[in-house]
Amino acid sequence: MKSETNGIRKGLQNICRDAPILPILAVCLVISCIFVPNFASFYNIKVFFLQASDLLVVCCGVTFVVLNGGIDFSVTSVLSLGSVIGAYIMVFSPIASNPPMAIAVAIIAMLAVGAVVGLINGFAVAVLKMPSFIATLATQLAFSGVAVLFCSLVTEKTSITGLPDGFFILGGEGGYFMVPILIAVAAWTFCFWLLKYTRFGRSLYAVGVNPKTAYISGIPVKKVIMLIMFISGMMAALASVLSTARNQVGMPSLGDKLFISIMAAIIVGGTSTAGGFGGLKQTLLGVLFITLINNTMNLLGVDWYVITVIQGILILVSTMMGMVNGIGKRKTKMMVLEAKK
Amino acid sequence: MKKIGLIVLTVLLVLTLLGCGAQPAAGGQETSAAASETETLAAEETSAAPQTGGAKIGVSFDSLVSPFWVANLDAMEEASQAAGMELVTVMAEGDATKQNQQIENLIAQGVDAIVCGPKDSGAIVSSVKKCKDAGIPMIMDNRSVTGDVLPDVQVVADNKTMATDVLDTFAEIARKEGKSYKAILLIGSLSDENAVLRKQGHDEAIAANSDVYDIVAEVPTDWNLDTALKGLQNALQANPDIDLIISPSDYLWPPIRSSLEQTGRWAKIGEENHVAVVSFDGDEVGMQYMKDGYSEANAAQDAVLEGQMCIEWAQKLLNGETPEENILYDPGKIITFENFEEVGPTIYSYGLLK
Repeated sequence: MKSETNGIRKGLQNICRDAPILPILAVCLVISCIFVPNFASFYNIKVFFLQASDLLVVCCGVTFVVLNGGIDFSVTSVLSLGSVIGAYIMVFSPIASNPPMAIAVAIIAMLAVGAVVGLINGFAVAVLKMPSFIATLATQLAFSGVAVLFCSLVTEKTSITGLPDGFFILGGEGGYFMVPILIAVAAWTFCFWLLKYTRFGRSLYAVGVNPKTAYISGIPVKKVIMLIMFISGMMAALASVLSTARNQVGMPSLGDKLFISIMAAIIVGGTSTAGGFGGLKQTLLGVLFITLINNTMNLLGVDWYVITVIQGILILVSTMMGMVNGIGKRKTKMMVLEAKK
Repeated sequence: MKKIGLIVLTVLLVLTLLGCGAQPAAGGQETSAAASETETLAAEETSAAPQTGGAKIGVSFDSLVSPFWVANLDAMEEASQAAGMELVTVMAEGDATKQNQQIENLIAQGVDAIVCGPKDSGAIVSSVKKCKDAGIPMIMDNRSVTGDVLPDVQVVADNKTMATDVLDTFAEIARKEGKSYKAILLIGSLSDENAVLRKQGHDEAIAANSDVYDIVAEVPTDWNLDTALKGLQNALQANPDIDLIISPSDYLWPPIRSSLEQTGRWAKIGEENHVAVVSFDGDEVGMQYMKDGYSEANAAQDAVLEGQMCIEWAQKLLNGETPEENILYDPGKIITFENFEEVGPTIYSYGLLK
């Protein structure tokens, strides 16, 4: 009996240490269910998970970068450039008259955009030793510029409409609302597996905590960093597919304002921006939490500016909690290491 | 770690179930909450109940940065209060994706109608479809959309009539004073519908008042300030006797002022070197130049009227009325240096003037 209560206590302690957002998320969910009218309606739950899905996908990729102690600004430009290029292929290209083929080619092209941007970032960070902050800021600027230019070249409007109906299945239109949600879950599961059960995942944490020691211990640091940036680009490209299908439009402003939400979800989830601590479980919780806040505040009719204030405070508080937590964790790790000696 | 995952899942599931059960009790007092089970039910309820008192109107705006939208929203709030309806406002902050999400949230919330000032006329189409699917009437505010699915009503400014009106009004004043003008006509981007309509309106008025207006140069600007400046400089060089500039937007004031200054013609009304300027938009820049005495006339969209029209139509649509035309026009307001004291304060940008 005693060991059981001990186990529960330990479990709770573990939760509070690994994912401090979990109890807050749970409380917010309970409050939302009871006090927010229509929160638990089928329509709203559907909307909630649909809204979380593309954010989750892009956050998965960025989590790798953040775990490595870096940042990837360029994901937003992958979203926008992928969106306009995909839309162009589906609407204006010669193969547009054959929707199934156009959709397939468009999706491949969109993923290719992510791969190219990811590899450029990886090259800049791993080989040229540029700080990811600067490298990805540069690619973000360049590629979002290309997206705007490209869109203005092919159409005189600020967005490309008239995408084929079949493509909207990926955005969850009509009865297909499970499609983007399942894609997001699959992407998350894949990333989770990659991080937890592969050598790459374990070396990522090591590089994140201290690249020099990682290098000395024989971890191929360059390769790991290349792969991290590549994954981030690919995930952003996948999110671009989902988001373009969901908004039913290709536009260079897609993802323009998403970066704050991405970082908020990752930080609020409990992944340390200093690298090395956190993971995809935290990111999942963070994404659910940020989506929940936006959703319930809209449902409650809270003024937009109040929402931004609340979001800001939440990020601040959770970062502070994370810092206290992170320091504690570092200390215990050190103690464990010393004890092992 | 597995445990945490399990706990999360269980908590989520239990709460969802709990929430579904608790739903009717929690939201019982809300008008629309009774029909919250599915989105279609909400639609049935609104079409069945002819009363709009207590109805909830969702308003989705891009942002409140421009004074136009502030005045527009204020007018809507006043009108909805008078009609006993409640407004729920969401702001997309320049993000078309977020606007679509917020409209979904409004639908989920069970609002009875949605008024939308779209950020992007292409991106909003998916929201128009969602409103249609949910059976919620949608009204487009100030910016119209095109496509195969249209919102129920679109309230926009009548660019063409406003452009004609402002030149007609100014021509009358000129006739009274016995004046005629040699004018430069500035043209916006011909790929922009508003610019095309304004050009058509200007052209009509110029043809009808050929005794007053003599267009000596047309300057295409493509809505580009640099192009406008170069075109104006050239036109003023070639025709030093020009005494009127007709502009399709207050956006073009910087090149107008700069080119006039360079040729020594930047002067107030009544001064010797003055060049008259008839502009469009009635924003804070254009209105300031009117107040300071540099500009003779302007045409402004009526932010207040457009807001009132949106609420009025929300009410009508909820009562089952359908409009004869999909697009309804705000005739706009014409401000001249003669009626500025009287009409100026009713323009949305007036509060920002120095």
